[in-house]
Amino acid sequence: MKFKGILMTLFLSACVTNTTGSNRGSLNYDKVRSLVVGYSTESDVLAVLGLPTGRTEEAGYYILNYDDSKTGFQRLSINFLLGSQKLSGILWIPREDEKEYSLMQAKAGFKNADFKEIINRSTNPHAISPDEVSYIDEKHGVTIRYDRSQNIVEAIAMYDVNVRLPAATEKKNQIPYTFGDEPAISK
Amino acid sequence: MKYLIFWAWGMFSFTCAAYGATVGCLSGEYLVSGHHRRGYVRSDGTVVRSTDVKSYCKVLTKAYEYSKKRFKKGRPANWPHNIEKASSWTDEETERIVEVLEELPEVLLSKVIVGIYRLKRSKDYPNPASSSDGVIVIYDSSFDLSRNLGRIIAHELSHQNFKDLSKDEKQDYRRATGWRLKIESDRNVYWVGRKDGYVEEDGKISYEEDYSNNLEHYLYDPDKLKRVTPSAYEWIKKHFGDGFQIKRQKR
Repeated sequence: MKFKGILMTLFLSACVTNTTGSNRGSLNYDKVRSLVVGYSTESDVLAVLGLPTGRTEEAGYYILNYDDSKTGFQRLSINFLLGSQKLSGILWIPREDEKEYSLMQAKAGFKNADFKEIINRSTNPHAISPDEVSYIDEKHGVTIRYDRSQNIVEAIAMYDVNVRLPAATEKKNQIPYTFGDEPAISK
Repeated sequence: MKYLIFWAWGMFSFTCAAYGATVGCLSGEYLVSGHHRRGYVRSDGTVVRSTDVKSYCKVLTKAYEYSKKRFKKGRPANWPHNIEKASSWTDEETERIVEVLEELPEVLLSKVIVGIYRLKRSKDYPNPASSSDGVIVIYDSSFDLSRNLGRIIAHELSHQNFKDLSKDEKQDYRRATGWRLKIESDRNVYWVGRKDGYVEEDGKISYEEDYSNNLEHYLYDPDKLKRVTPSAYEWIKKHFGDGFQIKRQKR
């Protein structure tokens, strides 16, 4: 961890002048991987990535969002604990021209990881969709969300395993389906 | 000879009466066989009374051509809900479906859909219809008097329409309507929707359900969509253009 911290400091010193957000369009996985979960601070993140597109807050966390400058699509979200302001989670959404878009390459980026395949069955009773698949290594704090039907990586998450992650705002399995129960006579 | 002509004329009249307009359907028309039609309410609120429909010729439409190849018997292959039993299409039901398809924008008639199946009762009754990629299933409850068949069909076609969008189009819809990926407390990553602004509560469950609800409302209750989810209203308007609306038929 110490060694990683020194490496990061060296990396940051090279980036420290670039804090204007002008590198929003040049987000890349190498920069993201240079951040250290549980160690990096918001200043470190700003030094490497520039200013975020947006900032949101929820249940003890705040999240810096970096969206694609051309399309506005989500590219990167970084969670910080509100109190300590330590980086507690990174969520990277690769594009199709990036190597980690492939599951094999994404997994290869975590050499010591031991991924478990987790299948989330589709619960929608009236729209049958393919199951969602994730590969999770809880020990190292890595989750790869994989779209099996398209054979692509949707997202790569890295998080501090010692920190409680934000809970879902609403339990989806408790939301009733409405089945389009609108009255037939509307006029 | 007189009797023979009289007999022949009688037989001809009887045949015509029995088979309705079979003899007279022109090219570009199709025969709607006589059937009993239960009362129902059209999507625009018009009450249609119960009656015995006599056989007649109807002008061929794209909606008819689309649906006639797709009305299927039995259960869809690999349908996951084993307790759902197959039912048979009646002339009344297929005519009602054709009537609905004729009023919907043609862009919703996906070529990917290979079968429209008729099953008896959903395992999630009163669910009126279901879909999976390439398949739509219609249950008995779709034809209940209290149901708006137009909205039901529009909703199911919208599920397919979402599946047919390109990857970037899907991303753009999610961007515009506030769906983002998030790490959650179980260490997994999920799509999480905007905090509020749903035309139906179950839109929170997935972006695809949200999309289908929004498309259905854009067509049948645009004022509500505009008020509750203006971002979705604007996205649909921009994506589909001005022609994306219900075609009210002159009857």
